[in-house]
Amino acid sequence: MTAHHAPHHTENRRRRAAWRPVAVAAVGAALVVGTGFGVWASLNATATGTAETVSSGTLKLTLAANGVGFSQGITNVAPGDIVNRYVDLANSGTLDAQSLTVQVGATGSGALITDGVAPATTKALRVTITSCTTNWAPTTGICSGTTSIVLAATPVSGLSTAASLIAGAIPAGTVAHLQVSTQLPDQTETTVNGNLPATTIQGQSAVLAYTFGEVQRTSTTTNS
Amino acid sequence: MSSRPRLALRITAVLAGLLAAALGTAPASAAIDARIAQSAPAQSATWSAVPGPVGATPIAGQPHVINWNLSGILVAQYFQVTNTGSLDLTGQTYSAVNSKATNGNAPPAIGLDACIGATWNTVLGTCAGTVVRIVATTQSAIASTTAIRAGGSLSLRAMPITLPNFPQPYTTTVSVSVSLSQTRTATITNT
Repeated sequence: MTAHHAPHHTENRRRRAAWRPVAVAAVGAALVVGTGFGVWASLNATATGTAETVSSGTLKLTLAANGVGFSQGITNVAPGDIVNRYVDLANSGTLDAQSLTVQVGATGSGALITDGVAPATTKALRVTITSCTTNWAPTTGICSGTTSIVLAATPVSGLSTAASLIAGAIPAGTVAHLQVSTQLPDQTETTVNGNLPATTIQGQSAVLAYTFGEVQRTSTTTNS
Repeated sequence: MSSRPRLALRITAVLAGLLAAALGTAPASAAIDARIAQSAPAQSATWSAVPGPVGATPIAGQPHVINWNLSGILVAQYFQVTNTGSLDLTGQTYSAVNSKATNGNAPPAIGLDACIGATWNTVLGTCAGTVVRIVATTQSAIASTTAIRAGGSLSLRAMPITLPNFPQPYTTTVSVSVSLSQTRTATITNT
């Protein structure tokens, strides 16, 4: 009988041995958790300080037209024409920001968006952005301060991903005075008896969706 | 090792992992960003001119064909060139080509004259403005400096300028082309 049951006992021992590590882990976890919330008979003392107020900062980017801004479409643009629009971008939140970027999502005629192939490669609309340290005069295009080109002439298709305008810090309250210049590159086409060339730049339409972005300053650790 | 202890070890490892995840998760690196978007449509200009009969709707892509049935006298025919583009034109390039007369002989030369500042009186054959010779069939294409405002038209007269030796039917085909250089100069707009 004993001999008959020996294999069964061995199998039981194996099963118990297998679950031993599980049991040990469970007990250990229970101890770790339990000691955190356990009730121990002891004396308690508490000290209450003045309630501390915590408020989070805000990051806001606002755009205001200086002149007509983007509210007025660009019409009847001929090769060589430059159309300047003026906008003020303000970091109007309470947090300092960094990395001001622009992205242009363009839809419509490919001829206005993407450059052609050789020999007429320079065909599509180009965007140049220039910053002025003071206000732009929108009707004359005069900056009374100092100008700096923050985005060199770039085909619209090259702005489908965000391009950097200001890489560094943008303190809260800062206003960037921007001239957004759109140019249709000079290119020649001849129309015969009103028949437009096959790959014409004429009579094309596109919508340029400008998205300006910034990110918060690098997070900080303050000791005080 | 049998499969049971291996399973137990796996469960232990999973429990330990969950515990570590719950107690010791490192803070995620995240930052807020702000964006503002606005759209602006853009449309390019057109520059083109179409020749056609007086008062008719211009049909793009077709030259104007003048039919001559001479009977030994000088007659004039009138047509117009319409600026069908969106830009004012400062000039156009004209060509006028005669066909052979039906008897195979060369027909008389045809001259195209513009009436600048007015329109040809097709009854009297007079122009209250200034008459300017644009091109003749004896010439190759000629660039004129006649201005036509967008949507406007230029009044022209076609007339034989040499004597018709053989009054046989023939045609004169007038084509007008416009290049970008025959429009206004490029502008810089600040608004």
